[in-house]
This record gives sequence, structure tokens and C-alpha cells, in this order.
Amino acid sequence: MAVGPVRALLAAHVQGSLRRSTREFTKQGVWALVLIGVVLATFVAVPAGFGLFMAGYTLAPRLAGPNAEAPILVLGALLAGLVGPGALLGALLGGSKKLSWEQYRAFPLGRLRLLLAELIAGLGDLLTGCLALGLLVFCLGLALGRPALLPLLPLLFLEHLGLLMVLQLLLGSLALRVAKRLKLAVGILLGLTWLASMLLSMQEPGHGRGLPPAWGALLQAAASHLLPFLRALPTTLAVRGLDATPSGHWGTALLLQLPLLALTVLLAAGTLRLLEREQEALAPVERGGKAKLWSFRTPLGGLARLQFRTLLSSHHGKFGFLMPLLTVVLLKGPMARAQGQALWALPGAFAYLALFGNQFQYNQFGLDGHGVKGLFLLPLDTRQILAGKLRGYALYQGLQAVLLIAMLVPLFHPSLVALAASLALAICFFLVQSALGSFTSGWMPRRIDRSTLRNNQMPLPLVLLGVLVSLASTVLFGGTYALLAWLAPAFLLPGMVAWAALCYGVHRKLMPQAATYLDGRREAIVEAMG
Amino acid sequence: MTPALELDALTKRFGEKVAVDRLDLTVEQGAFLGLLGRNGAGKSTTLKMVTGLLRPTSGRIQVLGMDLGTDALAIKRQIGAMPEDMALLDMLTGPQYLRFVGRMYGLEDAIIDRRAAELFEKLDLEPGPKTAIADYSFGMKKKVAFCAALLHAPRILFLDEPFEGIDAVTNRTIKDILLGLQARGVTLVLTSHILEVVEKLCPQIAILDEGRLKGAGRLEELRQGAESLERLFVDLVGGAQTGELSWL
Repeated sequence: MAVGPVRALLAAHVQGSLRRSTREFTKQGVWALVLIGVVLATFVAVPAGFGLFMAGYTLAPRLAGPNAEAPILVLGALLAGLVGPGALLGALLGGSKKLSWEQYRAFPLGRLRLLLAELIAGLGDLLTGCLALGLLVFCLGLALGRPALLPLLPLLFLEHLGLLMVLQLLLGSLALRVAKRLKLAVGILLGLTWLASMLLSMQEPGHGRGLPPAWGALLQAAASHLLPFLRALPTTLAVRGLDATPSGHWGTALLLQLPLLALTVLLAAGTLRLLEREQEALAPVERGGKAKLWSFRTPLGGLARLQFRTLLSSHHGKFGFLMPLLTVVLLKGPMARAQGQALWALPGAFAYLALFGNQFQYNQFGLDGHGVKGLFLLPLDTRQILAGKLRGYALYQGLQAVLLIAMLVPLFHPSLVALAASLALAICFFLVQSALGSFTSGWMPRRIDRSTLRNNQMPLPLVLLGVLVSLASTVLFGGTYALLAWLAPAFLLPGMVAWAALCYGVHRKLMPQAATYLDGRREAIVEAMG
Repeated sequence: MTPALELDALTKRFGEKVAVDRLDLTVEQGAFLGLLGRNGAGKSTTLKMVTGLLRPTSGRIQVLGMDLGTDALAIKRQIGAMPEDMALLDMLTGPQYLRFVGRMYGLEDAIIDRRAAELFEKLDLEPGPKTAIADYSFGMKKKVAFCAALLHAPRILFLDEPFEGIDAVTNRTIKDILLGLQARGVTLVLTSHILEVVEKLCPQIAILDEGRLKGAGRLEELRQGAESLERLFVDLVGGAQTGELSWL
């Protein structure tokens, strides 16, 4: 049987994705995912779907008659809400290009076919798939609520689905472009986090949980300006067109669908252009100047420098330097009114900062990619490699800690003792992560893509292990800190330094075993890194 | 004299599949061996085991009289290796990578830089000064990997498909370098699909098929009247098909 090119592209994509997922998640991972899927479906998707169905079912009969304006606006806003923010969320969760355009370009395939296949492949994302289903259920509700609307409903569904897919791909590609320009991304994130922290800290304790009076007036003014905007929304116009079908005004009905269709086509053209530019940008970049050559006394120094460089050359690694800022925003924003902040703010900040290190520490060869073979070919024993990596990570996380301290000092005015004790606590976290990570890096090695900010691809068992260990460390070290700070402040620093020294001792004891374990897993690491 | 390389019943299994099956092979010091075989015959797997990237399922590997299982580091100091996929630390520039590799072998910066400059010149390698290896062309990456394998003046050189993706001029230069190394007593083991190259360069060959050794020895002796290496190769591994396609 002959298969069309778009179907062939999608079949190859689905087969490849399934094979990769099965290989990466292992059997336990697949079961865990199924379990998570069932829980999400039961408690989120089914109630949300039912809500959308009922919204369609109850609003459909009200679309006719003199009071139809309000339901039309509500439906238009609902559809815009499903498509717009849904696509944005899908894009931020990784909804960018799925197919390997560079590979498929060798085939006699038109650009539009590639784009169509790309858009359909986007439906494989969990969120987008759910939104498409929600849209379908909503349209079914409309059809059952007023069967006379049925002739135009398939078009309404398809045009909204199309807009959702195009928007997600466009926003995903834009987000990726922004992420590639890290300075711009950091600037935007800084601005957003600052704004969020300002808004969150505007709520004075005396005002309770409600909005300040000035905000109420502001919202009323905004609502009055919103109505013309809602009326002009292409989704609202499409719903208005829907209402024209029972009376037989097919020309009007179809005419009112045009803005939405035009918008979709326009955005699709923009997306296609963007994707093509991405292709053109793949050409290697010749840079001027001269790269500095390294010099180091011992192999450890070189390995540490290589690890640090590897971290900084990855998007994930660069993103880590935003963590101190996010930590401070959390403390000054949502957590600002939590009780006893003086006791837990500093250790909490360092513990939160340490959490970000999990993805690198538990998968220490992940960023090396296929270069790990080059590393293993060198006359270095595994203990040296581990020690070199440890130094590189220490420098990386140490710099983040310094950044955090620089931000905490003017905001919280901590004492020197508290700061030093918090640093000791951070060292405890770091050493525990490193010791455990030296084993998990061989147990479940996974390649981390240096050039994207997508998920770090930590296997599910490692994610769960990381959460458990972080919780245990927080209870153990953070608990000690809080208890000492509360009951015996004079022992705070010696107590935390003692913990750090103990962690260091245990770490040193474990390293030979970790090296032996990794020696036995070199093959698995090489295979996993490609 | 102690052999440069001795493989004793070397076996590698990947699950049910036997990639290398009880391979016995001895390479004398100063020899130039061409390891031949069809795709999936076990050539790269053998080289990966010999260079310590893969652990044998069973059997023994001895390099310059040292056992790879117990003296891996001492062996690695004596060998240079260029895997088929090059395995470069591609976030670095070419010169940075060579400096890193050289320092790992304990070479002084000045020596590394002098050797790197000479290699770059001979191989006509002129990357952008700040261009990362990740942005190099395939051929340029191959050249950098070749430089890294030679930088520390190894006593044995393992090269997996060194001529793949290399231009004709550089190809010639690499052949000259390899012949020069052999003349100075360096042991060379290379795999290649290009039989003409092996025929011209390697006085000794070993032919693998489905993980098993089908023949090994001096090329002249193995030929025994066969017209060419290609004929010998096809006779030994079999499986040659007619070149007709039903729809063309």
C-alpha cells in the first residue's frame, strides 16, 4: 500500500520516539509513567474535559436570541484561552521542532509537507494532545447542546486546532532562539523575576490575602477596556459565525471564519520562515581572535578546567547562574511571610541552590557526550577523572554560592557566622550529591544536550532518588542548622563545620569504591554517550 | 622480542550477539597490520577492546608484554588511538584540545605547541582560531583526532578508518606519515574498507568475518596466486552478489 510522504515522516518520527523512550525509561520507568498518566487523567484531564463539555453544552443554546452577546464573548474568550496560553505553555514545555529537517531535506519533500508533518508531530506533546482533546470535547458539547450548529463545528474545531499547533511551534521556536541568546534570555528572566518578586512583596501583612483597594479599581478599568478587544478576537468572530449557520446565513458564517484562518496562515508562514532560518544558521561560525590555550600543572587541574568549561559551554550550565537570583526571589516573594525566616532563610537558600546541581552531579559524564571516549582513552585512572570533575563542579557551584551570598548580604544582613555556617551546609549538600553521583553516573548514564535548555533527561529513578536524598539532606543538615541557630547559636558554626568535615571524610572513603564501580561501568557510559 | 600486541581467545558478546569470537592474533613490534572485514565483522569492537574502551567478555589482551586488565594506564601511555567516531572533546578548539591531550600525557606546553603546529601544517589544518571542534567539518575533525593520536609519540598506533572523509592530498600526507612511523619502528594497526589503501600500506593483514579470524599473515603469502587483495578478501569472506537491480 502506498503511503503519503507526510504519513511516512510521522510514522518514522513515532517509531523513533517510541524506541528512544523505551530504551531511556526502562520497564520500571514506563510503568511509573503509566501510573502518573492514570493519576493525571483521573484527577485533571477527566474533570477538565467534563468542564469543557458542560461549558459547550450549556452555552450552545444561549448563542441564539437577543442575549447572545455575552455567551458569544465567553465562548470566544474560552477558545482564545485554550489556544493562546495553551500553546505558550506547550511551547515553554519543549514544544519546538520535533522532526529532523536537516535529514529530511535530502528527500524530495516540499516545505509545506515538512511543516504539516511538523505541526502534526507537535500533537504528540502531552499538553498539546490534551488541549486538542479538550477542544474536541468542547465542540462535542456545543453540538449536543444545539445540534443546529453541527455543520460548521468541524471547521471551528479544525481551525482552532490548526492555530494551536502553529502557535505552539512558532512560540517554541522563538523561545529556543531566545534561549540560544543567553544574555537576552537572562535579561528577560531577570526582568520577569524582579517584576514577580515586586508584585508578590507588594502585599503588606496588614491587608490580608485580598487585593489592595487600588487594584480593584484598576481591574474594573481594565475590564471595561477589554470588551472591544474580546469582540474583535478572531475566535469570537468564529463563534459569531457559528451562530449564523442555523438561520442559513452561510456566507456570513464562512466570512466570519476568515480572520481566524488568515491569522493561522500568516503565523504558519512566519513559522516556516523561522524554521528555514534556523537551518541556515546551522552553518559553522568562524570567530576572530585567538582562543586561550590552557596550561596546568597536574592532570587534575586540566580535568577540573575541562569540566568547568564543559558546564559553561552548555545552556543548562549557564542557566545555573540564574539559580541564586531565583532563590532570592523565592525568599523575598512567596516565602517572605513564612514563619521564622531568620532561622531557615540562609540554609534554605543554599539547600535550594544545591538542588539544581543534582542534574549534573548524578550524571557526571552527561555533558561530555561522545567526548567521554576521548577521556577514557587517555592515561588517566577513574579516581583522577572523578577528582578532576569534583574540582570542576566545586568551582562551578562555589561561584554560584558566592553570587548567592552577594545577593543575600544586602537583603538579609546575615551575620558572618550565619554565612559561614550556611556555606558549610552547602558543602555538606555538595559532597553528598557528589558521592552519590559518582555511583549514579555509572548506574544510569544519560547524555545531556549542551545546546538546548530542554529537560535534562534524568531517568525517573534518578529524579526520585535525587528528591529523596535532597529531602533527607535538608532534614539532616538544615535541621541541625535550624536547631543550633535556635537553641545554641554559639555552636552553629562549629556544628556545621563538623558536619562538613564528616561529609568530606565519608566522601574520601567512598571515592575508591566509586572508581571501582565506574571502571566496571565504563562500557555502559561509552554506550550511553553515543 | 616481545610482541606489540597479543590477543588470546578474545571474545566480546553484546547480549546474544557475538561480535568477536575467540580471536587469536599476534602483531610483532614494528609491524604494519591492516585489519579488514565487512561491516559488522568486529574490527572496531576489537580496536575498542584493545584501547580499553570496551571490556572483553573473555580472553586476554597483552600490549608490549603488559596485560591490559592490570596495566591499563601503563599501556595507554604507550599507545595512540583514533576511534572511528573520533571521540573529541568538541567544546574546545583544535589547539586547545591538543594542548589538553598533550598535558594529560605529561608533555611540556612548548613541545605540545611545536608538535601541534607541525602536524597542523603537514595536514593543512587551518581552523578559525576560536572555532570549536563541534563546528569543524568531518574531515577537519578526523585530522584533529589523528594529530591527538600522534602527539605523544606512541609506540603503537591504532587507527579506525583513518582515511574516511579525508581529501586526496591529506590522504597522501597521512600515508607518508604512517610509512615514516613504520620505518622508525612504530607498530601500526589500522582498519579500512578501502582495500587499495591497505594493499599499498600494510605488509600484514588480518581478515575478520562475523567476529572470527578468517586469515592472517603477510599479504604476499596469503595471496597465493590470487590476483588482488579484493579477490582474496571476497574469496575468504564470501557473500559477493551480482550487481544487478531488478527495477533498474
